[in-house]
Amino acid sequence: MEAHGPSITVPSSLAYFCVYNPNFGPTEETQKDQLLYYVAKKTVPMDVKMRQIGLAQGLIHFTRVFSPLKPCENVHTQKNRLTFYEPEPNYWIHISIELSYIKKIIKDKDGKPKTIVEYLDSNLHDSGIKRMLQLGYGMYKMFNGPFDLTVHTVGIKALKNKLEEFFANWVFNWDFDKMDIAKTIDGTSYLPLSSSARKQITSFTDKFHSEYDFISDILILKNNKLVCSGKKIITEDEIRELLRYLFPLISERNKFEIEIEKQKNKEGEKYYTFKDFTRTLSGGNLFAFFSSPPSNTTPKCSPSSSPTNNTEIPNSTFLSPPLSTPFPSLSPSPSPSSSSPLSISNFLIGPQNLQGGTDGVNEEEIKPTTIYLNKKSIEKTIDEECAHNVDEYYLLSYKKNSITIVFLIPHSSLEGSKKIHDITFYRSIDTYLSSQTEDLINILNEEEERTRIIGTEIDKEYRYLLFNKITLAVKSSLYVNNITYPSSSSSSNNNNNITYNDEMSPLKGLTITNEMAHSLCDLHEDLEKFPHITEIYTRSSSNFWIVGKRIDGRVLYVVVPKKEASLTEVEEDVRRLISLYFSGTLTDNFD
Amino acid sequence: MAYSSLRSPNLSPMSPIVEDFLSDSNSTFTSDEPLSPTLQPQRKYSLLKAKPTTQLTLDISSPTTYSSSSAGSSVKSFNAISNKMESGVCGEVRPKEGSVDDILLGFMNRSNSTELHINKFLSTFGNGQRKETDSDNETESEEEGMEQADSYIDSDISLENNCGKPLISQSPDNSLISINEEYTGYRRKYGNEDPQSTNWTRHRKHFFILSSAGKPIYTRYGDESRISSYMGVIQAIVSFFADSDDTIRCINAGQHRFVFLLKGPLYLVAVSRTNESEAQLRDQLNYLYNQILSILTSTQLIKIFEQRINFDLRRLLGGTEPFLDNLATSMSDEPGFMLGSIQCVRMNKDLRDKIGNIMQSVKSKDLLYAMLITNRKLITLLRPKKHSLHPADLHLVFNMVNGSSTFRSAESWTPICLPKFNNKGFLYAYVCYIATNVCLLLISPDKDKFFELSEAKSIIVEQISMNNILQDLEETLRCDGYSIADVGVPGLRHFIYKSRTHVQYTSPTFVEPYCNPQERQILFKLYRYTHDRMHSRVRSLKVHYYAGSSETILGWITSSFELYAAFGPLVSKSALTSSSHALLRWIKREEDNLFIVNSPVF
Repeated sequence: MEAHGPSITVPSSLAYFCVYNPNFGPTEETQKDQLLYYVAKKTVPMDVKMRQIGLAQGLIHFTRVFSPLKPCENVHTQKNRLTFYEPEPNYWIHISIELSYIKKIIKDKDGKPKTIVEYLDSNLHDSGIKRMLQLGYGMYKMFNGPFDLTVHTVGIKALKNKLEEFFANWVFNWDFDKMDIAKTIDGTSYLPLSSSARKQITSFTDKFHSEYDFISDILILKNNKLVCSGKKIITEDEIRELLRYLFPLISERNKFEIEIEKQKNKEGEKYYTFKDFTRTLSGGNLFAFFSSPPSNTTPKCSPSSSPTNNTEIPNSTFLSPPLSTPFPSLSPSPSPSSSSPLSISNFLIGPQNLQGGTDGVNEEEIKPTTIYLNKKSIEKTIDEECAHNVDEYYLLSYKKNSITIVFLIPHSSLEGSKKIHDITFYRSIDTYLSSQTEDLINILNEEEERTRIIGTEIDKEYRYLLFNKITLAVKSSLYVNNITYPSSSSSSNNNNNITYNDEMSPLKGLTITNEMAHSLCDLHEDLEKFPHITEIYTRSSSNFWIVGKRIDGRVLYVVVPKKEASLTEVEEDVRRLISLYFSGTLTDNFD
Repeated sequence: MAYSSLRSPNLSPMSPIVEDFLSDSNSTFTSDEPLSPTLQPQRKYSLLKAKPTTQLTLDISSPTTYSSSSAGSSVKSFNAISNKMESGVCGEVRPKEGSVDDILLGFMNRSNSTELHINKFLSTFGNGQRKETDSDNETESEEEGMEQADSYIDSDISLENNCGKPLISQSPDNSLISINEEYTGYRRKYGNEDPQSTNWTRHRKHFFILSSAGKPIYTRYGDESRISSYMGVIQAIVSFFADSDDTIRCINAGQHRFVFLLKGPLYLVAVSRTNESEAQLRDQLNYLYNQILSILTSTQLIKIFEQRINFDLRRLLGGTEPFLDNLATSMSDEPGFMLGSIQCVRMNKDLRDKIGNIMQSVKSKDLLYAMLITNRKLITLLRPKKHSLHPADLHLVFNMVNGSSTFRSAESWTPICLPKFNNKGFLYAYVCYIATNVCLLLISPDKDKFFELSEAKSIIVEQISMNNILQDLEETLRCDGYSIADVGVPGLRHFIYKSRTHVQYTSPTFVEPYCNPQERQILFKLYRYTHDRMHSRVRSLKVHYYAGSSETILGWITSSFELYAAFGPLVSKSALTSSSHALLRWIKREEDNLFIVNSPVF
């Protein structure tokens, strides 16, 4: 049998996605009350929906017979993949994905053309889907609180609304075929710091804490890399969810700043045409940052994002329905006032207009963003009200050049709760930071420059990803040639050379192929499954080597695309890579 | 005949099938692939043959071909079935549907009509299970301890130990004695386990076979008649996906993997926490399916279910459980199934050739295949020029010989379908042990050639006994393979080498540190993982190396061989590479002795 004519590849797509709780509809009549949220590719009649969640429960019950503690996680069928996730007791997130397939026309034995369809089950990784659902729930919970809390405080109806708001558009933009290892691992990139730089950062945050003592935690980001993760009030898990939320905002703001720079430079133009600008926005929504992450060396932040897709920076996050709009005033007034765009404050999350008199801004207009963070285990109480084990915090974020600073203020702080509604508080922070961040930016630029010089040569030969399971820190060069983010060279002065560049990517010649990406996922799943394995070397049928190796509690994945290399030679290569990258000061910040 | 005493409720469901086949114009007894193909002729044998054996007696009587029974119980089953036929002829033909049938029927109907009912059924079913869950929380902490005990379940404790023993019911509750015991005297391990108990659910690998109507046909553990509710659920799940033109393949739940194989009227399901991959478990289900075909042929299987979708196939398979059980156990122990190849006895090539020549000398046009085997290893095989014998078929033959101790005691003549050769019809196997551990198999397409082949055997035995050939052979077999020390490769602990050209594999005997069954199981598990990764359908590998806490495993595949080698945990990659090359050189040198390089042809 030989191929005849072209083959058509149809990508994976969402069949349906739902959230249900069997306890809400125990009888046959009330069964439909179980359903909290449902969305499908096609319009689906209620009885089909009921059938689907009925099957889901049947599968869970059946598998519980044999595996009582871990019932059905996923079902592989010829054409579909079902996945189940129970983030809170009895609340189930359930998704069905239609597998991608290839349609080929071949000649059968008699020479007659015949259409065959091949479903690509093994290109959809269960670990990737699982992470995607976890991330989805994690972000939902961060900004909306746990499902059960909502039900107890405002009722089932409110929960349904929140779910609808959060998931509605998002789910359709998942790109299931682009789940690679980095998305599955979904770690956080850190900027490695020298010890002197770290001291300076610490003194900066200490000073800031003493100035505003009701602020309980500060996080600092340089571009998309975490510099300082604060006092651990926010866990590693929550940090990555928070970052998935922040990245699109940062990228959006960067783009906006470029536009303003352009506008400044164009003398002929009297005012900025916002119409044009907004047209370039792709109809903002939350899923923008799930479908293509904006700016990062870890472009895989979202389960669905395409690392090769970064040329188009997702923007317009402010329109995202699920999360309360962080800076509504970014939508410029239609007035031709040239100052209008420039009036945007440095707050990424917070009031956008700090100008005007004290009474210029109505205090009720300041709607602070609240996030829900898990209580630390020591603080857990049996108190009825705290049964959900979350604490509420106000979230505030300040961005200047390539630096973004995040503040957390506990709801429990009386002073904080008062200040957060007071415009003068924002002005004071703004003034304080404008004067203090200059040094910070310079330090971090140096640090970034220092790390960049190392290893550009060796990156041409290999691609790697290093992951620390405890801190969720990740360091990766897998998709390094696709990076686009504002150049840090623009930094020291507020100059107009903020650009989206490719200058970080001299590493042509080695692209991670689909097969490599899938093999990396296979390898990752194996290492997760078999903790006793210390290292795996594989050579594929197309002759590239992939290595997974545990080093001091971390896992290193390396792609060595050398066709002729032997096992011993590849080992030598990996050794070189380790000594170059992962020894000495560079890893300091990593742990 | 003890007419009345045999009309036990267990046996009475036999009648409908007789009715069906009698009422069919192409009656069983006249068709080419009859239900009991050798019924008439064999009865003749039993009259003619001077010393009828147990095996023969059984073959005459039972439509179920095999049994591992003691003499007494096979007579019983002979009587029982004759009795059935009589009652069928006499017009006592109304099928008596048991209450289980009604429930399942009802369930089927409901599941086909309204999907809501599935849910309801499953929920009710599930609620019952929920209690189990709670009590299981405690046992889960004992995971480690159980793990060890459990590994015995999959280890190589031979079923044969149980087969030959006379039936003694150890259960205080006699009503629990399964239908099999009644038939054949075969007593299954774990046969009395309650499917609601954690002992039952916690077995490391379950196999279930059910009909597409949801009727239980086979379970590896416990009693088929008591797992109807689970089979009903499986049937409902399968048909749910079938309704939307889809096919369920696999469910993952924690450590458990549920793999489905749908073969026309039969559904086969594996429930395993052995870390085997979906593909590997599906392969095993295919072997089980082939085992069923070898008893029934696909023609019959399809015909039976065309006539009655709700047919209880256990009636036809009764007595063959030992073969399915034996197969299930073997698949967990022997790499041959996973590798799709068979193992040969390592022996001097000249000796093998001599034996081959002797067997070749009894050229008979009635003979299709002739082979000499020992303990699941091939000594030599003769085949027609045009037909090779597929390893899957050979595994069935091995399993047949291995699965019943009665072959050891007498000459046997038994129909067998070799699905890869022809899944529609029977071949006939003459089986006879010519020495303690040496079994001669002569396979003919003609069901009337028992005497001719028995004659041929006599000639073979006569010749092989001359010139010390048999003695040499037995001496070779006594040594039982070779050890890793014979190979003399430093650092190498164990290996499996499959010659892709000869479709045979070779492997040394287990020595330290793989002396006990658990350790062997662990090693086999490591090989299995490597094998699976390397044979991934879309992303196959050429080399797979990994270092674990106690072993380093190398998997290496080229166009001509597959090598799986175990080294110590600290071996360097260069030492491992040079050792592997040394091993390959040794195998090349020994190739003629390790493998049947040129199998003689007719």
